[in-house]
Amino acid sequence: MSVSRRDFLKVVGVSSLSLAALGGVRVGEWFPVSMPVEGEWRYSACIICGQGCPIKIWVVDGRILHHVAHNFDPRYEGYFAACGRPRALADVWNHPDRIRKPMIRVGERGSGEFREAEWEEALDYVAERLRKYLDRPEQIVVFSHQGCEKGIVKSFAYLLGTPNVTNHADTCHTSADAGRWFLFGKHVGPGGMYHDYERAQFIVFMARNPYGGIVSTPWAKALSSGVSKGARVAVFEVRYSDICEVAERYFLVRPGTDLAVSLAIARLIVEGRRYDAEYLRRFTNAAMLLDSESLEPLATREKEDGKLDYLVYDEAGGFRWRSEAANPSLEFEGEYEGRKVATALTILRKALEPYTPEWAGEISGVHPDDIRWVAENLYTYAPRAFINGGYKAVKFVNDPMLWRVNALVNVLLGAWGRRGGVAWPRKLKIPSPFKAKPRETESIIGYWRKNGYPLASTKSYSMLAIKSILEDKPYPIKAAIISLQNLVSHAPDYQTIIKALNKLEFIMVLDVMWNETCKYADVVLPVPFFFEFDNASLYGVSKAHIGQVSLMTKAVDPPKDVDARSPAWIMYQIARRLLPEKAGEAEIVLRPEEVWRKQCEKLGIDYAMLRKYGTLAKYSEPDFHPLTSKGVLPTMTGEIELINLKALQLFKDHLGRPSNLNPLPTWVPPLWMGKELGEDEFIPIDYMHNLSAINTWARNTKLLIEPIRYEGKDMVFIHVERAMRLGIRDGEEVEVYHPETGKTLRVKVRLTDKISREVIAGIHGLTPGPHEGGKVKFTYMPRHGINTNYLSPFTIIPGTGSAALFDFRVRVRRVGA
Amino acid sequence: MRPAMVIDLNRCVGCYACVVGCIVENIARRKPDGTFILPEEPVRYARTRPYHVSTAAGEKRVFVQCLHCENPPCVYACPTGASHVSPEGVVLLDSSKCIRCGLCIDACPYGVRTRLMEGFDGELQHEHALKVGIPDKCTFCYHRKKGDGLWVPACVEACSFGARIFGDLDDPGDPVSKLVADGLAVPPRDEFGTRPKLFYVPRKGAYEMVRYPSRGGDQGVSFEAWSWLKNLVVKPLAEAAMAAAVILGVIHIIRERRGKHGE
Repeated sequence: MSVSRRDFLKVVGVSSLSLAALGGVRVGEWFPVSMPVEGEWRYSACIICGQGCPIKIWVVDGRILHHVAHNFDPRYEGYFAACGRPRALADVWNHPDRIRKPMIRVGERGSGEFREAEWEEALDYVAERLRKYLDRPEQIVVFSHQGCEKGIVKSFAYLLGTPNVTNHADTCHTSADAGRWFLFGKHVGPGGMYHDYERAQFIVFMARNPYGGIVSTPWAKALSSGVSKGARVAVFEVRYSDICEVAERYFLVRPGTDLAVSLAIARLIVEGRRYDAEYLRRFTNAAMLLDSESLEPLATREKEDGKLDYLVYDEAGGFRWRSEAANPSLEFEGEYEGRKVATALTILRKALEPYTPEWAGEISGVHPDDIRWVAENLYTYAPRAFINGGYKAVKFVNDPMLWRVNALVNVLLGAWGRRGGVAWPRKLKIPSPFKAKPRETESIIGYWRKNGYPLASTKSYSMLAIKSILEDKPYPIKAAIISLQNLVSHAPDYQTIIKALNKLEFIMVLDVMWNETCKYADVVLPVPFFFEFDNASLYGVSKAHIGQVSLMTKAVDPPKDVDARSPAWIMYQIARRLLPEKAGEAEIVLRPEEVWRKQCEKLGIDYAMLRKYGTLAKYSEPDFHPLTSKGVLPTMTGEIELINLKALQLFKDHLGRPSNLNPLPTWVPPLWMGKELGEDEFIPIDYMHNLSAINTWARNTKLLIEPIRYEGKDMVFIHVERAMRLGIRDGEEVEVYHPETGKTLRVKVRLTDKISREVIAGIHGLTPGPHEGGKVKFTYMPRHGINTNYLSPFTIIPGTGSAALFDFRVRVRRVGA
Repeated sequence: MRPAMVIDLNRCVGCYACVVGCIVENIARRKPDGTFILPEEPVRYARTRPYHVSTAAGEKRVFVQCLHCENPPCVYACPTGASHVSPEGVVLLDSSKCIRCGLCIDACPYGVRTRLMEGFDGELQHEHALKVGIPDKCTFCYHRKKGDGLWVPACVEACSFGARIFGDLDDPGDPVSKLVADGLAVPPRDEFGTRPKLFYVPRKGAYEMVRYPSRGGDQGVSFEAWSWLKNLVVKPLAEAAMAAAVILGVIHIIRERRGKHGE
């Protein structure tokens, strides 16, 4: 079939008009087709990174994956954008490092020696090992990360009875999620915000690069559209990243000191009274009167909706309940019944007083005038101006505070919930194909939230799970199921991770290609790539602000000698062997189409239309309301809380301390700071590239690695002057090592002047480190990149239970020196 | 129809989808079961490649490829007509006529032609795919052309960001035509006189087209002048000379024959 481009445009134009007119659906052939060979499109969603951009795959002869194109809901083309990664699917399909048969360990753990087995034998083997924990199934912990089927793995874990299922996000972004809890009363992750780049006029990026990151193409697309419409961009980064290319100005920051800049910006806004007073009055507790010394709320009472009403000073007539005041004063200080009282905003202003731009400049290395320039632009263009909400936010120990203060700045600007600012996304919760409940018992995360980590995420606690294994708390953990998660490479301090894994009696890994964690498993089961099977669930596109779902259908079979089965099939077979009486209901995962129909019915989505287009959005725009369209947030007052009332109850003892749990914004120094860096000391940083991702599919595929190599970005960057002092030349191989633990990586360095002097930085995971051997191989992975997790200590941030992946020092020496 | 392409550098996020898409379409080969085969350093041979240009504001990335000039130096340089222009104005290379002299590679002021010298296995995916030893260049995915209408090159299909637009310069209503007519999309290094049909929307306030990667300065020649000279002076003169030679030759033969008969 051949449709000319003009016909295509005509059809799209006419279709869009008719859609707009009818509010319904009637779209003709809308694919831009002039294919080089005959074939047909099959639908999927790319999960090389966690984004799940809708894609379509051109399949020739029903068996050859020819190439991949971007797919979209014809009504809302503007958002998703499949990047370069899925274009390489043809190359990953028959990758030499695919796991081709079920594998059972024959050598020592860590030797990488496995023997091939048939599925029956492997599944019986697994069932036999797991059977002995069935009376206390919580002894099995499930690590489940990437994959369209992750919800199903969780349901099966519950079916087996364990409540302990975690993903990886505590080593990705949960610091920021917990930080934003202080304002919104709930964990707000990167998928919990929608940045309206297209309408924004001034955007500040801190430690975030949507052009070069993972899980970022929708942001990149909206941002590029905003930039082409004239949005201005400023960037704070430790290195010259892709996003700096479109920035009007970029500022190199010392690692882990962005918080100082944020605090200074917040101070400039509050001190200069440049906040949006009307917004603060309507949507926040800025006017709440607190005891100036104890910070106790002056008086509160419960409203009908269960939220708290509180006392304010009404400019129109003295002290009144907030719900009755006509014009609550934002900055009142005075006495009430003999007590010194002040508004929340006044207390905030006093808390921010020490953080002048000069102070921040001293710490961060950014000139105070530049901080003023950014703040001025922010409040000049507000509410169409904001500090971007970040993504990877487990870099330094102060990340929870950094992202709290950045959200606070956006609230002060009145940009939260506004067009051109930061909106709430509209989400769809995909129902699980079958229902299962874990055994009533204390979960790992339940225990840790009561013991030192009250703000830890209940979904993401892989590091606390490792801690549980090591410390036998709350009970001994005996076995692990690891589904498409690469703990050894992705969590900090591989030595600690391996120590924990070696303590377990049984480990099963499900993956497509060999990864670093496989080496320590007892059984490794091959899973097909996501485009090689019908996924037994609709895929809720991650980070969709308009509730988008995609079909993930089989495009091609795996190569002939690859005997892979889907995680849902594997988990069902295990459940059937262990709990035949319970597994019956789960059998539906073997009939994907039935699941899709049922899920569509529950979600109110037209299944026929979804089959036709492969992806559909339920809404047309995000939720532009500061308190969500419900008009109420899960804080005690139901408002955005500039000073969180619950935090005042729970974390009062953190007041006045440099702590992430301090109810007031405060400076928390990164762990590496304190004494001067030695001549050979650096802070190691790793980041993502447009074609890399955390899984081995991306880091070990020739077509994705070659462009990185072509640009010389497979190496590790340091500042030219510091390198010269150490006698290091461009392109030279050096050793990066952690002096206390002795962990060492060999990396090749490139010298640049566009990087902070304190850091050594490269693309994440372009080295297998010490985890190659036996059957575990990485044919195309570079051997001279960096993975900070192969150098770092095992640091869990108190309170939030998240990681601080880069917050330590390493030393650099020339090879042989 | 005059197919042309615009790359909007404000919309480009540097995701490499175009590069990877081009390699999949034009460079890679396959075994019969579909297994992919790539040459060493495939990006070097991708028909659109990233370059980093240094500006005062920092490095900027720009994707570079054959510009399908209307005054194509490579075609002028080719001694056998292997490098030629299709009826639609797409600059192509007919490998059956190529003697591998490499003059086209040297002639290109933008340095975009490549040549893979070492072989790799597998079947060619189409007639215009990369061939070992033959100079190679972007064909606007001419093999995708079917019928009379415009087609969609692989890199344009690959770009989900709307940074690559393919259109018809002869159609005033076409988005590409409009961008060019409005002066929003500009040809790189206009002063070479090559009249490219690849245009760029420069980055706002950042990127200057004068820094476009090229080695044109060394050529010391305006291809506009060269083209004018060739089309208006050299070509008619050469044709006249050729015709004169033929006529003189015929006269000569006739006179020779007459002379023989005379004897």
